[in-house]
Amino acid sequence: MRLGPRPGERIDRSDEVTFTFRGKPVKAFGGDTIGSALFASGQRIFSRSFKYHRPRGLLCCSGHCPNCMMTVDGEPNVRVCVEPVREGARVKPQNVRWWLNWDLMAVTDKIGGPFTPVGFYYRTMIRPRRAWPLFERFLRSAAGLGRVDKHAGRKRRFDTENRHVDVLVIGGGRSGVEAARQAQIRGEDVVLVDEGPEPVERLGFPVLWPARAIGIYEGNLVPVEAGSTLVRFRAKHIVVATGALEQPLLFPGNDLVGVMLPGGARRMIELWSLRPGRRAVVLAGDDRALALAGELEAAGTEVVRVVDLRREQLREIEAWGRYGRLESVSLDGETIACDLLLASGARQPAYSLLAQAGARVEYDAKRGIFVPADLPDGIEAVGAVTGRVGRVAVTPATFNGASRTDKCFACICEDVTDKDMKRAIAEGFDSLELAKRYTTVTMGPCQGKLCHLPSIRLYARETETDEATIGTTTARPPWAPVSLGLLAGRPHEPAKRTSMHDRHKDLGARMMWTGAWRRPHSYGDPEAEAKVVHDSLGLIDVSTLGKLLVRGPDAAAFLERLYPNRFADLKVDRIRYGVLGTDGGRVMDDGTIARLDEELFYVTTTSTGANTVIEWFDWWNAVWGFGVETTNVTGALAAVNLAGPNSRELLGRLTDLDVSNEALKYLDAKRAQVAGVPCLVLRIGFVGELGYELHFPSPHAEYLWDTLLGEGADLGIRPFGLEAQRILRLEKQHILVGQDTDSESNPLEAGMPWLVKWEKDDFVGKWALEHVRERGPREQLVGFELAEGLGSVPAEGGQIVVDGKPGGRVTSARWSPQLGRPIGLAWVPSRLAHEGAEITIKMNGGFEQGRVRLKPFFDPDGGQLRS
Amino acid sequence: MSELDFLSVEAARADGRFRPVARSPMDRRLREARAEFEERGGRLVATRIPGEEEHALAIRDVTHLLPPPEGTEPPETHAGFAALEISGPGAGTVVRRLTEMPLDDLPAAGAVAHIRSWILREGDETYRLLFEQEYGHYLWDVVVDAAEPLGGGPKGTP
Repeated sequence: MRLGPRPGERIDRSDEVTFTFRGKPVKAFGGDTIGSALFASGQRIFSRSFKYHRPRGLLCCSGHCPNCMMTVDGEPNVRVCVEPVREGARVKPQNVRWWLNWDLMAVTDKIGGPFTPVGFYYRTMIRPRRAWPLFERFLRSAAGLGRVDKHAGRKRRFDTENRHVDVLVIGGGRSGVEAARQAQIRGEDVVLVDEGPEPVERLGFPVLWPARAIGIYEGNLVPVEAGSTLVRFRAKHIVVATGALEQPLLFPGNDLVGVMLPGGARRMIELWSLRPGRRAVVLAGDDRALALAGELEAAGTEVVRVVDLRREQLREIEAWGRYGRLESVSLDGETIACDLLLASGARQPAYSLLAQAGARVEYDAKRGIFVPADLPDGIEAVGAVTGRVGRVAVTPATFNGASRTDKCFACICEDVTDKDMKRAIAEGFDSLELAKRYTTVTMGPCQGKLCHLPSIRLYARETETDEATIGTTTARPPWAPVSLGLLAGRPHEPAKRTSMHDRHKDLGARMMWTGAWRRPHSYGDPEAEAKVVHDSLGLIDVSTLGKLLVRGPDAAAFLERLYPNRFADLKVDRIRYGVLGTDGGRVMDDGTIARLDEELFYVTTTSTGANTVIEWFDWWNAVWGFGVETTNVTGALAAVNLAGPNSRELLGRLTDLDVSNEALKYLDAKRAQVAGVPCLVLRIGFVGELGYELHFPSPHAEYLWDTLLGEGADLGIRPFGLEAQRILRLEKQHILVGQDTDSESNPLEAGMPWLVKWEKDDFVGKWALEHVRERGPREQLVGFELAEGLGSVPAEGGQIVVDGKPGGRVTSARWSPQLGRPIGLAWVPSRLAHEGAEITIKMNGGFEQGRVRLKPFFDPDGGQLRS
Repeated sequence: MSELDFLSVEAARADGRFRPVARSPMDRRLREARAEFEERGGRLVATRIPGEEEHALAIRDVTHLLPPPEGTEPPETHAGFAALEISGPGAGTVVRRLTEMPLDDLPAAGAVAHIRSWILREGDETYRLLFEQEYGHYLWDVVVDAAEPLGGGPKGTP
């Protein structure tokens, strides 16, 4: 099959490459594609079709049609006609039962026709309903393309790259190269991309090859597939030089192996020195196809008949074959034996990218093609894509065959025949967009490259209108199939980690997500960790707290007006709890506010609330014109909470600060060197025991963590995680904003009416809260406990049942080792929000009785905290 | 102590018992690469990483070289930031694989691998990324991963 050495051939005969096809070695030359090498080895059937499993062979040799799709090294749907050979590649056919030449599923082609008309699965397999999964499994395995390798993501790497250029030229034909050269002469930064298979003439400007532009998006964004890299071009100016595409003719048997587009045969001869067939018939729609006759003769193919479709009007064309391979063609009743039929109608400008960019597309009736018009700014078209395709034949929608024994395909990707299209119109799908969705014509791997024009023409004839009336369907990216891996790119999962993160991992912590942060859930035994806090000393990383500095002469007045409680009277070095409300009086965030001096406050927020709070502060600062300066120091500072009866002892060992209860009272804020590190020491007690929060520069975090654990070893210190903290705070009935409250909760009903200072002139949300006060509380957040010894805990979100109906919900629940029973927080109707009220909780598939508790379960009077 | 000293790495004091040492958020990743460290002004700095000679394209932790040069938005408290440097042939490609920002007008701020970052040009094929320190592990991993296929790898600051 391989011809002798020819000038200009792309193969390098001195470079032998071997790959395997179905496990058997195939020899190839460097410069071959897998497809050309297989053809040279004698392979003619390259695939089985989507629905009827008909044999298919090389058709376009340019990576457009679906006929040569195979699985290469586990990657499905590779067009082997343009896939360069590589040593050791493993190539397998796909969508075939048994073997390409003998596909068991080909029976659907023989008997399936009447039973499987277009859209049959919408109608025939819908009953009985229960059987659909079976039908579906069968259909999926019977029809379709290659199998996706579910583990491919780990095998192959995809990258995304961004490039900004002055000019991007898409298409490396003569016009594209000229446009790029001109841009370069103008001194512009230009890149040319070309999909191949022919190499691009290089003239000193950067060329990306083989690379496929898959669409033009807003802002002149052009993603380009370049091997395993998706290059996202942003170009000031885009030149589209995508040329024109040969269109197949519609006649019975038009998909037989041996029926090819003229350009495909030319590439076989010119690039890979292959003889495309022995005896050829050429049906030429333009000068290019006509000129091919000479090339074929030179390559040793006998050309038995050439028809110039522009001069000679054929009425009937029909191809016959055996075992799917072409044996003869009948032209207006004259039968000619041949094994190669080169047939094409007009060359249709490949305008899809232009249409995606917003160009209008109009029909040129004289030449029978669609041409782009009204290009948007920044987009230029050059060469054949503009409609400069020479004199072309306007061919009929379909050619009838004399005997009409075989199918005539309008869409080879999805196996849609001319009869299917006619039937769809007869069924009422008379708009092209509807028919496209019903028949799936133009929706296959070629994305309409080879079926758009023929299907519009067929539609125009069947509906007795014309192509201009029918118009085109909307062009959407991608213009060519693109692997999902390429679109996904490299997986990036941004995570915030505290400066002690690695220490937690060293200690065997199980990490969990809280917003963007990774935090220790526990170090193995959360209940034991909670117990250590009660008994001796625990240490928890609370670096994720949002931390803000609020500075300025008006800082106190600013906070006073933001929060429902008082801050103007907060003394220097003292701390107060605050709940931030929305204009609607809803709970937004909470935290502590420490006054560091007259004009400086240190505000902490929830772990996930920092950004919202800082935006909220900046907004009101601008609205009120306070001139307060807010700085986010969340990342700059690490923080730990040292909690438990031994915490004072440990802190005292590490600092010169007087840590006695008199000098460092509950809710005092002091600055001190702790183990040599500058710290802000906040005496607060989220977990209910005597405790100190230390806030200090992040870079010292590992050092201080290690020092605290080391120096506190004899005091029984142990790190505790988020889970232990949740148990402990629940024992104190401290709420978690976002867990126990939602976007509708207000402080009056969420158990914090004492927080709201009505005597203040104004604060954000005051008006709304006054209304809530007037109407009275409807439901309230309360603590509850279950019977001692009950082993299980209600689910968070679990139902509170009132008079047999849902009347409330559990927001938090844990087993308290301290109390020996399940405890929690729940929203209940107001009439049940009193000490000791009985509530019914749906759990364990039944109901359990709980009791409302309004005071903290642990240390209800806060004596522990203040001691 | 003055009022905002608790924000300052420089305010740490070593005395007999205590010897505070500051670490970069990328410290652990450097350790895993078996880096050699040296204490410079109370900070641990990776000076050498085994095999670094093989990488013409180098990724360096330059957090200790903060604060950043003039012209960038001054970070209020520089302990909140980390910095890494990408230098050598292919540095631009690495950066372009992580950000959509055009690199012809630096310094600039924008998303790098989905997080907010400042990009500075320190030389022809030398870029610095400046970002919130809590993303130190993440961005180090992402940058090293992006540099690997281009022959890049971590390097110390001698």
